[in-house]
Amino acid sequence: MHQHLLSYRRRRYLRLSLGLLVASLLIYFSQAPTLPRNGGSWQGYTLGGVATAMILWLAWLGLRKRSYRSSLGTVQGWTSAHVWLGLSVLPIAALHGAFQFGWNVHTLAFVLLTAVVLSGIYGMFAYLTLPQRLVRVHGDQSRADWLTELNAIDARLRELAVDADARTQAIVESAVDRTSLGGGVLAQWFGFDRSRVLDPAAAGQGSRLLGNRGQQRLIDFLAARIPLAEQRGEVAMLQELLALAGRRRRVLDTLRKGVRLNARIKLWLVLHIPLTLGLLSALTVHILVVFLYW
Amino acid sequence: MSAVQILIRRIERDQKGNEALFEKTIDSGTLTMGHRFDQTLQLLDPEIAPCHAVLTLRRGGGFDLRTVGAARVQLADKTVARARLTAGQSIAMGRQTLTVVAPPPGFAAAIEVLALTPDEAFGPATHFVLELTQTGLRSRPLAWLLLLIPLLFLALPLAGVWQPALATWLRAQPWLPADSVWSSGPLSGAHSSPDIGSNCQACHLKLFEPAPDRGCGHCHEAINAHFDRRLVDSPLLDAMACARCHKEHNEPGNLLRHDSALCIDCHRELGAVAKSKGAAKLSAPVSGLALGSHPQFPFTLWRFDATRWTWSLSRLPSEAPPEPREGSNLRFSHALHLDPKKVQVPGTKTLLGCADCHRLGRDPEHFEPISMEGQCRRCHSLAFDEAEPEQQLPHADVPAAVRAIEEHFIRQFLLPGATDGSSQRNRRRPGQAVLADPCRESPLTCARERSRLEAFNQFSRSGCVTCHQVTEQPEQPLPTRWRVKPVRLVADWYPAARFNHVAHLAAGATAAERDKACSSCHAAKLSKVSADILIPGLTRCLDCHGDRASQAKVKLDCTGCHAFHQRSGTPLKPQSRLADPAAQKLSGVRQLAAAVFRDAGGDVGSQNSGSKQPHSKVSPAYEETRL
Repeated sequence: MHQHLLSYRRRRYLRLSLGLLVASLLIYFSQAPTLPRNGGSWQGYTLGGVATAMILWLAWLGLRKRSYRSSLGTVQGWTSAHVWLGLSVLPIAALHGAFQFGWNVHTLAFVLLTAVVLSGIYGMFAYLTLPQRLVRVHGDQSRADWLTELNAIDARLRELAVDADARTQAIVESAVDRTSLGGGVLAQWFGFDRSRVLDPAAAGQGSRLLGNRGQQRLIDFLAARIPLAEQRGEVAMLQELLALAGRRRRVLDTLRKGVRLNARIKLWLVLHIPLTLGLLSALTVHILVVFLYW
Repeated sequence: MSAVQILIRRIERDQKGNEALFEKTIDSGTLTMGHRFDQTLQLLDPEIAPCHAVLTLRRGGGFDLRTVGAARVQLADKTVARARLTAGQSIAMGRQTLTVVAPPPGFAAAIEVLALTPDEAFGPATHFVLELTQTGLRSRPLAWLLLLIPLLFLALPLAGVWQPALATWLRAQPWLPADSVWSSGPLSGAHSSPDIGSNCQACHLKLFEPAPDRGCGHCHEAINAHFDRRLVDSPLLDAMACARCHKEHNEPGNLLRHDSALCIDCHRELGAVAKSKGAAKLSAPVSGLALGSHPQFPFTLWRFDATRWTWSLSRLPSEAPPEPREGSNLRFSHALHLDPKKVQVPGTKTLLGCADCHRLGRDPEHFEPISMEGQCRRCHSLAFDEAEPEQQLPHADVPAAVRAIEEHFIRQFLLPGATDGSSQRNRRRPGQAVLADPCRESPLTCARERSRLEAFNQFSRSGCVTCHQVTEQPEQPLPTRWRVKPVRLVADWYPAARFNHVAHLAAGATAAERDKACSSCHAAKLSKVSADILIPGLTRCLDCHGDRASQAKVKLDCTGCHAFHQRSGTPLKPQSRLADPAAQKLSGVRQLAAAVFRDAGGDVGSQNSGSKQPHSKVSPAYEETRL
C-alpha cells in the first residue's frame, strides 16, 4: 500500500515537490543582499503566493480525495500529491518569511501550518503502518465480533458463578462489572487497563477493591480456589470459570490493542482538519493584515 | 500437514451494504460451527448455539451437515437437522448465510459465509467508550476555536484603528492582541522607542496605504534634500516615497537599503531625471566603482585672490592634468618635519609622527583644525629677542607685532635698569652676526632703529616669513608696511564623500604602524612644499575597493562613501508631503529625535544655506583654519 502511495507513478509528486522546492530556493537566493531577505520583496511575495496557492489546493485535495464519486484522477494519486506537496509547503513558507519569526499573526499562521504538516506526517505514518497491525491484532474478526464474544463470556461467567460460593460469585461478577476498556482520549491512546475487582473477604482485610490488570487477580483467585473445592462438580465449574477468565483476558487484550491502534490511526485527523481550518483563517488574517498596514 | 484444505471466505456486510472480506484456510475435513471460541468457524450471533452444527467434507466434493442437539438450520425455507450440501447450495443460521462455492485451485472445497452485521455489537460490552468520537474530543468545536482565534487577532486591533481609546487600552493589556501583533518584524533604532514602537499608527496613518511620507515628517521635518533644490530640479526624486529607501520591520533591523542600484538608476544618466535650473552642472555619470564607471574625485580647494584679498572655493579634478596645487599661502615642508635627523618631539628624543599634529576631530573623517597655537607653537616660539625669549610676538596681527617690537626696544633703550643696564647692546639674532657698529645716537633713536631692523628681519628674512607669504609696501609707515597673506587650509577635500580614518587605521597597533598606514595613502615624507596635495584620489581607493561586480578585496556600495541626505542645503520636501494636517501629538518624540540628530552632528538644521557652496558639508568648525 505505502509503496503505491508514496511512489505513485514513479514518484511523480515527489519529483514535482522537489522541483518546486528547488525553484523556491533559487527565487529566495535571488533576493538582493542589500536588505535582509524578507516576505516584502517581489521574491517574498512570489513565494508567499506559491505557498498560499499550495495550501488552498492541498486543503481542496483533502476534500477531493474523500469524494469517491468523482472520476477526476484516482484517490491514490490525489493522496500521493497531498503528501508530497504538503511536505514541501512548509519549507516554501519558511523561505517566504525568510525565517523571520516573532510574536505576531504572521508567525501564528506559520505555527499553524507547521502543526498541520506535522499532524499530516504523523497521519501518513499512521495510515501506512497501523491498519496492518490492527488487522493482525483483530485476526479475521471485527471489533464487534470480539465484543460479542466478550459478552458471551461474561454471560457464561455470570451463569456459572451463580452455582459457586458467595465469595467466588462476588469476585467473578465484580471482575466483569469493573472491567475497564477504552475511555478518554489518553486511556484510548495509551491503552490503559484500570480494571478492578472487589474482594468481599480479602485475607485479613475484609472487603477491598483491588487492581485487576489483565484479569490477573481473577485468574489467580480462581486458580487458587480450585484445590479447595469440596463439592462434586465444583471443580469442573471452577475450571470452566478459569478457562473463561483466561479467554476473557485474551479477548480484552485484543480489544485494548485494537482500541489503542484505532485511536492512533484516527486522532491525527481529529487535529489535522481543525488545524487546517485554523490555518486558513490565520492565512487570511496574515494576508489581510499585510495590506492593512502596508 | 493434511492434504485436505478448505477455504472459508467470510463476508461481513453492514446495514449500509459495505462489505469486509476475511479469508481463512482450514486443514481439516471437519468443521465445527457455533458461537463458542473453540469452534472452527466461530459465528458470533446470539441465535447460534455454542456448538451449532458440524460440516464433514464428502469424498468427491460437497458436505454432510449435522446439527448439534436442538439446533437447526434453514435449507431452502425448510428447517432441517441434517442435509447434504453441494456446490451452489446455501443454508441460513441466524444472521449468517453459508454457501458452498466452487473451490479455487489448490483447495478441496470452499465455503462462503455471508454475515449481516448489526450496527453495534449486542450486549453490555457496548458500554465501553472505544472510539475517539465518543470522548469529549470533537473536531468541530476545535475547528471553530482555531478559526476564531486568528480572527480575534484581526478584529480587536482593527477595532482599535477606528477607536483610538480602545487601541490605547489594548496596548496596555499584556494578554490581548493590540495592533503590534500585526507587526511583521522589529523596528530599528529610535523607531523601536515606546512612543513609536508600540503605536503602529505613528507611521501607518491610513489602512491599505503604504506608510506615507507625512508619517516620517512628524519627526523628520528638517531633513535635507539630496541636492540643492534651488539649483537642481528632479520631479522623479520629489515623487519618491521615503519608504522606497527606508525599509522597516526587517530582521536584523536595517532601516536603509544599501544597494548601489538605488543610486545608479538615476546617476547613470542624471540628465534624464534631473534638470539644472541655472549654471549648476549635474554630476558626471556613475555606473559603478571602477575606473571608467566612476568619475575622478574632484578636490574642493580654497583659492586666494591677491588683488581683492578674498578666498573662494573651486572644484578641480584630482587626477587629471595639470596636477592641481593647493594655495593655502602657508610655507611648510612635510618632508622636513618628518626627517628623523632634523626634527624630534620637544623634550623627548622621539620622532615627529602624523598624530603629533593631526588629531581626529569629533567624527572619524575630519581632523581638528591646524593652528599656530594648537600645533606649531609646541616647537616654534615667536620670540624675537634672544636675551628675553619670554617676549613673544602676537600672532596673526602685523601692526600689533610691529608695535610689540617697538615697545620692547624703546623699553630696552630708555629704561636700561629694567634689563642689563647697558643702553648699547650688541644683539645677535639667530642666523645673524653680532652688530659690528653699536648705535651712538640718542636712546630713542637707537631704539627705533633697532625696531626697524627687527621688523625687517621678521617680515623679510627669517621670522614670520619662514612660514608666511609677506608682501611689502615701502611707501607705507612701518606698522602697515607689510601684509601677511592669510592662511586657509582645506578641511574637507571631498565634501560629497565620507571617509572613516578610524576604520582605515584599525590595523595599526602602534603609532609607528599607524604612521605607516597614513603614509600608504598620504605621501607626506616626499612633500617639500605645502602646495603639494597629499590627498589620494580614486585610483588609490580602487587598490583595495571596488563595486560588487569587481574582484576587489573590499566591496563598497555607494552609501559606503556617500550620504543621500546632504548635511546642509535645502529641505527634503518643502511641499505638503512631509506635513500632515492631522498630525498626532508627537512633540516629545520629535524633540527627542531632533536632539539625537543634533548630537550626532546630523541632518537637523541647515548650514550654509545661503552660501555659494553646493554639496558642501563643511561645518563651521572645519570651514577655515588660520595660522
